[in-house]
Amino acid sequence: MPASRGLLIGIVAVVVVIAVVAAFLLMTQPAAGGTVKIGLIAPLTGSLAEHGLDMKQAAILAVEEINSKGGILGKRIELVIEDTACKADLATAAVQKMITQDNVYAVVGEYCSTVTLAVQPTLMENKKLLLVPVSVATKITEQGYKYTFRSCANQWMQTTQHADFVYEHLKPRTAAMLGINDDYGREGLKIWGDRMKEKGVRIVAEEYFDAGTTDFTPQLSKIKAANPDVIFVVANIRDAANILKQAHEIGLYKQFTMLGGVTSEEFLQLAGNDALGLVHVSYFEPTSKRPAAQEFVQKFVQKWNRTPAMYAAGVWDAFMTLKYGVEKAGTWDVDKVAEAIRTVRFEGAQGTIYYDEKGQAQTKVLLVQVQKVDGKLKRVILYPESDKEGEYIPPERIWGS
Amino acid sequence: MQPMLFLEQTILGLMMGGIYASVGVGLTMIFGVMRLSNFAHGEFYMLGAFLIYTLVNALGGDPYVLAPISAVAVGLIGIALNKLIFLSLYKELRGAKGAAAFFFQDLRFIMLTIGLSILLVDLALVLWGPIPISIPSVFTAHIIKLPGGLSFSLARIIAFVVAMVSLIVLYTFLMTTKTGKAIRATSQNPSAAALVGINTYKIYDITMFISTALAALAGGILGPIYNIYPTMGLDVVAKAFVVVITGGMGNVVGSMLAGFLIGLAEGWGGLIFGTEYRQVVAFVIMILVLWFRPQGILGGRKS
Amino acid sequence: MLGITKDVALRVARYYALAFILLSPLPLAGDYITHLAIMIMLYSITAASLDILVGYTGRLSLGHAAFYAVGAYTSTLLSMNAGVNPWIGILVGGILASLFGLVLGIPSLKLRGPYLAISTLGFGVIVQLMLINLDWLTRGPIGIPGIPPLPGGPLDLRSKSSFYYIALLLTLVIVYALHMISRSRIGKILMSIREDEDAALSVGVNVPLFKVLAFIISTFFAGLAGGLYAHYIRYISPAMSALSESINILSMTIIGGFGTLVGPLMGAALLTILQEILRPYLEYRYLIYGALIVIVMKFFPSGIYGLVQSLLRRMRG
Repeated sequence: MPASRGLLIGIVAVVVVIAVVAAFLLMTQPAAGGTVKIGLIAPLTGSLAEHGLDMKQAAILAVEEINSKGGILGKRIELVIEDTACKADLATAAVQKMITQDNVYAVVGEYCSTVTLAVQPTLMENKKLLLVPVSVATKITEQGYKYTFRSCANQWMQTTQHADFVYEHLKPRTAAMLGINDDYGREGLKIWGDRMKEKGVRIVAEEYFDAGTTDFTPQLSKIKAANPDVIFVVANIRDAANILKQAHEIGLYKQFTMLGGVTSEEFLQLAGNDALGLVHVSYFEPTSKRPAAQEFVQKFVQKWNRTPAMYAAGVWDAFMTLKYGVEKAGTWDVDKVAEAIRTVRFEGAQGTIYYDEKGQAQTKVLLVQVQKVDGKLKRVILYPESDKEGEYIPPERIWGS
Repeated sequence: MQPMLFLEQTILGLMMGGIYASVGVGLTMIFGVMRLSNFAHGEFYMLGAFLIYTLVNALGGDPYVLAPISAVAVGLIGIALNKLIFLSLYKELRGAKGAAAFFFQDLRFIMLTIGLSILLVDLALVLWGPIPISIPSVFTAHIIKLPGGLSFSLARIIAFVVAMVSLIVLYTFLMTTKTGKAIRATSQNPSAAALVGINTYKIYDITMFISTALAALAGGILGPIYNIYPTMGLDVVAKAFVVVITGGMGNVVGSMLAGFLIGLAEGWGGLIFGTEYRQVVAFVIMILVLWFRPQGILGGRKS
Repeated sequence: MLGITKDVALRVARYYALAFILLSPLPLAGDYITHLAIMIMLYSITAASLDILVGYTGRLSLGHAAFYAVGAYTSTLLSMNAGVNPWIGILVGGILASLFGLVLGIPSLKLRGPYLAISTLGFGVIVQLMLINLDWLTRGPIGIPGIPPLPGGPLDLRSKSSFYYIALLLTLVIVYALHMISRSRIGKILMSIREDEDAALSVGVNVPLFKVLAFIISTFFAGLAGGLYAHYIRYISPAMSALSESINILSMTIIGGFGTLVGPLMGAALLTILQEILRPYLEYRYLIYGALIVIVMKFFPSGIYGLVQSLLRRMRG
């Protein structure tokens, strides 16, 4: 068969396929009069799916909650969920579909900062609100976009407060750093290292590991040889649990400190007793006594039969931000709502939520230590004073010297 | 560099190498006997770990005791998939040469197993959920302390010993038993093997069983050390291929040696070049080996 | 020298013109469909360029996304740091990608089949790690947002429909170029290497030279597609070079039908659209996706193109 005829067949086939699919995809109905669609993008497949699950469950819960109380300005919320697998191109297509086909009013997402940055321009150009519940890259709210709001503490807030706390309370002279070799780890180590160096703490080791690593002993034995006073780790739940286990395996019993990436019940289950003594940042503790947090935890456990992680709290607060913002503006006009969100102040799952000019929520960062209370592992809040539940226990008292 | 650090990395690297070897050997056997580059190999490793988790939940007991059961179960899944997907293709493709062999064997098998891998990862996600799980054993918490500040966990030593024993058993099996010799003969020349009365398709089933069961066993004995999650197989399969290629595809002893070589190189490489380049070390070694000995360190296609 | 008559070149060009006309009303279907169509075209260029390597020369690559990423990063960094016109940046990106292709092509001359697959896979991993670790140059793992759009004179190429026409034109021109290469003397030599390397050697073909040439041609066009992607999405990150991306591109080439150039276009369209159709199934969709790959490969090893061809043949009796 001559190639040119083959080409013709190919072109016709492609045209037919695209036409059929276009017809199929265009059939999506627009929202009925009384509803407003809100999109959620999260990694529901791939190696980060565990975190996407938290986001999805919290979003479903938040929408049910809002609808059960009469919706927003009398309109019911309809949730549109799309999986991104933490891939920029899948996410861009998903967001484009949400904008054109579903005509969403706002998008909540994402987990991965790289994905949030990838979809941000499209959303902003189409005047859609972007409510970021999890991605921490500082840059996201530093680009001057007026429809972007982040309901969790960003990397800079978390890391500097963490460094200050560690410096004042743990009084290290030397420190080692270990981070995942991606945007989260690199930015975390940079900010923390600079802050510590300013204070005169010597950084004796700086190590990275690639996503998908399961064996951390090369990094850990280098750190062990450098003999630092504290070890700062930026990692997600899975890696963090392995790091603690393997550190103890090779006899490294120093003070470990981490960012907020490990705030979940599953982390304590995975790491077990190896998590003892760990000091880390949290912006949400399910054990919190605050009524708004308790209400959220209770509803979440009732619905999903598991304890919500901080990602869930971030998503919940993102939806509440939207609700209070629209209600305060009294209209769905996106400019007015964006203005209103900058002035709302409400009790969210993570505490009192209000936003700065850049759209960054000024949430309170907690510092907690994993301790054994009544024979069970528990996060004990060390800082700030107002929430303090217990005293810092140095590693020598936990592990012996 | 401190000598203790170096010693520690050497021991840990060798132990890691043992695991690489046991995952790699299964992969190399499949390639040697069936000319199948199995990109879904890591998923059998993952299935092995998850099946143990399910068994521990259902029956109770220690993961190490249940590991052989899970390995056999995964081996049977391997045979089933072999019969379902690959058997008719072997028959169709026997003796293919040149471009036909490349397209209808190499390429097609690679794509088939990539598809299978995508499917199995998602199946695990749907069945067991995305949240990582740990399977503690009574041995996990034991730490063996050596003089000079060195210490290693018992679980890691068990994993290493199990990997070594299974490799030695496999080697003895291939060298001394009738079936083992038949596998080697099929690997060297399938048509000649068929002529002397070997049922080569049955040999394919046996090879698939050994290969997938070994991967599952490795996944199972690592469960108590690391945690398990649906994409864990994807994290090892590339490393397993590096081991297999460095050792010479189809060469079982080569893969064992290459496993140790890569394990050690990663340990030492992290010390010398900085850990952010650790992942590159394995690939660079593979590329160097391929440059000087394209057939791998132990070359050729002997078992 | 190329061994194509003017007559053939013109006749084939007519089909491409026809394709342009047939596909030009598509932006009427809205931004979402237009976006998908643009993504299909960018993937088409990449998958068709890989076809030169895989389908025509019989050289397997699991690292093609690395060249796509090199093109994207080159063009982005040139336009953002040195103020180079993005069009020139894209071209330079293609050239740099083909230099990388040379770097990979020479040491892998002796390798074939799975050996080549894993070496190219390793190359992809190394490129990704370079993009992450050389952060003084690449801005590290966070990637680069705010990439300038392509200058389009009177056209605003930020708008999807304008970009669509430019992309359509470029895709057809590039695929036409690849098509002509495949029918030229070079293409015939590449195919002779694919069929039987030893026979090609024995009739005096400089096999190593042509193998490397296949790498250079293939990676050049992948680099161009990467540059276009960067200025279209206007955000890039090292994840572009991930293994999953390379596998995605290879799947398009093979599922579509290797060694045909048209097949990869169909593969790009099919897999991109499939991802969209399966979207509502969230966590379950890769079960279907994986199963489809297995089924196509088991029953239709010549891909979708082969399937369409045999269906047509049957319809004619």
